[in-house]
This record gives sequence, structure tokens and C-alpha cells, in this order.
Amino acid sequence: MNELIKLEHVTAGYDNGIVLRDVSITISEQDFIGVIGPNGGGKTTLIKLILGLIKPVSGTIQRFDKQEGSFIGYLPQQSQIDRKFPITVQDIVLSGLMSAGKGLSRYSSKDKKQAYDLLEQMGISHLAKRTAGELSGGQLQRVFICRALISSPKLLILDEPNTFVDNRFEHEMYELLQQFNKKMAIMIISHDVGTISYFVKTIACVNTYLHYHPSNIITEEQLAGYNCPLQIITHGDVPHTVLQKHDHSRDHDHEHEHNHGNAITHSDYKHE
Amino acid sequence: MAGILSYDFVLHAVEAAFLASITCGFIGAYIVARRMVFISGGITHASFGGIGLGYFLGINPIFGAAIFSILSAFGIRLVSKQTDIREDSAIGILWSFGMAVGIIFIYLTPGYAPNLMSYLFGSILTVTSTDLTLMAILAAITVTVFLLFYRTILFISFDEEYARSHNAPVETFNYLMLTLVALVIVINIRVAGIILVISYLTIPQSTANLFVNDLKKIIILSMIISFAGSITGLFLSYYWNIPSGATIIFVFVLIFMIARVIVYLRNLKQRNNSISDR
Repeated sequence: MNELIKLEHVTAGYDNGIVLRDVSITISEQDFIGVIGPNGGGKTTLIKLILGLIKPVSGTIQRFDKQEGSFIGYLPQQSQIDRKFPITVQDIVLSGLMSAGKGLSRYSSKDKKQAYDLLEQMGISHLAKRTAGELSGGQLQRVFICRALISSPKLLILDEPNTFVDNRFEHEMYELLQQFNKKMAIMIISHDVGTISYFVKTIACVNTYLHYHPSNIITEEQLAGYNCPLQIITHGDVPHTVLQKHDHSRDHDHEHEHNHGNAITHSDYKHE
Repeated sequence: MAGILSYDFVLHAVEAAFLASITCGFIGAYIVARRMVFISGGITHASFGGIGLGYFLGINPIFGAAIFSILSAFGIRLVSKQTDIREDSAIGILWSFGMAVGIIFIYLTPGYAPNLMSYLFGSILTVTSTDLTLMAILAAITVTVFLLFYRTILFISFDEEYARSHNAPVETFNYLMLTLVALVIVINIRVAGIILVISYLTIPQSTANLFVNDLKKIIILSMIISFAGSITGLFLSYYWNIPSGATIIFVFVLIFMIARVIVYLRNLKQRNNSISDR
């Protein structure tokens, strides 16, 4: 499989400190990676690095993209959107075609057709002329998925996509993602590890450091070699994923310190 | 009606109202959509420092105001981005600083400051042909920028980070638009005055926003409301012999309130209909 993006020994952060240390990960075609970890652990920073929104302090990021501007489709957290902004659904979707050189050109009827077709596929084409403020959280999320898909990206990144949507659409969305995955790599950030582990192929656990688990089901035996801060969530038939606490400090005093994130319970089986 | 249009100053006022409606239609819609009303208020008042400087140096105060407004607009941006001073605090500081500088310069200027009141309260009836030429040039620039880059402006305003992830020239556009905002404010100070110019940038747009929800439509509808309100206010002020700027704003607010009541009644009717449908 072709590699799309390769991060090697990347350290990154902001003015007030380092958020990610020595992160290496390669994203290839057909990957379906779940990114988990506590709040403030660096999940969003990792996304920003991949999107090119921030530069690493050290390390390298290689992008093997041949197409222009639209190599990555991105679904941001809804909380960063001003829902009262006067923009139509059709325009939101078309904004996914925006790129550095495209300021002057108008969107062709082919672009508009493509936007319409995507909305149709999501079952919301009747909302094309509505504005963002008139939609429900789930409808708006579909619109943003259309925006991310319109450029036919090689990699689709979703940041906490289940925050504002109802359960019914959440399930629908994961099914859709599995279809998309036939054509593109997907990276999904979530708190709800129990649910995503059912859909993803591999898991990246981010808590300052990144631990890559090359499977979606991680057993205690597999964890023997390392620790990953994690949780046990039980939802009916969904298989459990139990990851253990990472121990980077090599300091056994810290072993029982829980790195709480919302909805994440850590297990602390090791070294007891 | 035809009688008063034969006066040159009235014709000038109508032309000024038309050009103000064009520039404020575009820029006001942008300001309202991006929630930049407070920063625009800050830029407006900071420009008074430039008006004072203009009097002091004996140049056209509008040029001084243009420099002050652009510098304060960029200043607010940079200060809130680069330091830990929050944006609204930075606006408050530059807002009052500009006013203070203006007062000091005017005090230091020998003699009296002609037209000072017209800069504070606006005087659409005394706009000169120089003012009109400057307004026309700025209107042409604004129209051109929006025609060429409407979608880029829309997309960056809606979701800046997403635009950045697509390599759109976000910073360039933010500064270009900030410059336009500053210039449109300054040029319209002649029409509405420092204290009232924000009304041209917010009231017609908010009125339009009651009926339409797409930036493009808000721009067009607010231009129509703005021009109609200006002309109505102009003639009322002429017949009742009251200040034109204040009358225009009064008419704007009246239109807004009537529009709000219409929308309220319409929603009430729709609700009743949907209840009786069941």
C-alpha cells in the first residue's frame, strides 16, 4: 500500500510548552486509524500537524500527495463553527474545493452538481439552499462530511465527529465511513473508544507520546511490552478494548497517577 | 420634491447616500457576519486621533483619519495575536487612546477647528466633490474586491482554520479586508460622523438578516435598506430642520423595528397555521 503521510520523530507544541514528543506514524492508503487519548494529550495537535496548520519543533513530516490542495478532507469539531454565520449549505460544501489558486474562478455547474450529488448521497439535498443555523447538529455534520469529501481526498480526518450528533446518525456515520474507507484512508479522533474500536483497523494512542497499536483489538498480552492509558467501555455487543497505562516517566511512583480524560477510565494493571 | 433636488448640496447628499450604501452594504455585511462590530467601533473612534493630527498639520483630516484607522486596525490584530492582551481589551485601549490624541491635537491647533462637529456627528449636506470622488473610488475598489474574491472572503470568514488547511491565503485576506473596513469607516465619517458611522455598518445589515440568511443577499438587501433609509432621513431632516445624521439613524432603527414586528407576526401566523394543520 502506498504511503500518504509519514511523521518521523516529530515534537510539537505552542508558546506555553511541548504537547507532542517524538511522534512517528505513517498513514497509508486504506488505513482506518482511531486516535484516542485524554483531553490535552495532543490529539488535536497531531491533526494540525498533519493538516500543515502548525509546524513541528523538530522531526519531519512528509506528504506524498500528487494532487493539489485537496489531498486531505477534514471535518473539524463543530464547536469551532459559528452556526449563525450567513452561509448556505451548498456554499459550505463547495468551500471544500477551495485552494490557494482558486480565488478568481467561479464554481462550475459540474462542481455544483457534485455538491448536490454528495448531499443527495447523505440524504440532505433538500437542504442545499438552507443556511447553517437552520440545521440540526446531525444535519450540519453531514454537510461537513460532504465538504470534506467533495475534493475526493486520499485521507479523511474527523475530529470528534460524534460530539453533536444523535445516536442514530452516529451509527449511520460509522457505516458510511466504512464505505468511504474503500477509497480513502481515514483517521478519526474520538473519546468514545469503545465504539470506534469496533470500526477502526488500528489505534493510535496519543498522550504526549504516540503509541501505535496495529490492531483494533488489543489484549492484555499484547500490551505486555508497553502501557497505554486507556479505558474499558462496555456497550452491549461491542468488543472491549483494554489498553493499559503508558509509563514514560520510567518512574514507578507515577504509576498510579490516572490521566483522566472525559469518559476515559484508565486501567492500571501493570507493575502492581 | 423636484424643488429641493435643484440644490447642489442636496444632490451631493443623495450621491453620498448612494455611495455610502454601496460601501457599507459590503463591508457592514462582512463585519456583522464575522462579529467584528466592536473592533469596527474601536477603529472608528481611534481615527479621531488622525482627524486631530490633520487639523494640527493643516492637511485634510480625512487623510489623517485613514492612517490612524488602518494602523489601529492592524494594531488591534497584532496586539491580540502576539501578546496575551485580549482583543476586546486592546480595542478599548486604542479606542480611547485615539480619541485622546485627537483632543490634544485639536487643543494644540491655533485658532478654531472648522467642521469639527461634522466629523463627530456627520454632515451629509456638506460633503464636497472631493469627498464624493474619494467615496466613488473606494466604492469601485470594494465592488471589485467582492466581485473577484467573494467566495474566498465567504469561506475564510466562515471557517478560517479550514481555509488554512486548504492553503488559502487567510492572512493576506484578513489584512486586505481589515484595510477595507478601516477605509470604508473613515470615508463614511463625513456622512454619518464618528459617533454614528457604526449604524450604517450594522443596522441595515441586521435588518436584512431578519429576512435573508445568505451573505450575498444580506449585502444586496442592506444596500437597498441603507439607501432608502438615508433618503427618507435626509428629507425628513430637511423639512423638520433637524440634524441629518441623527435623523437617518433614527429612520434606520425605525425600519429595523418595523421589520422585526413583521417577522414576528409572520412567524406567529406560520405557527398558528402549522398548529391548525395538525
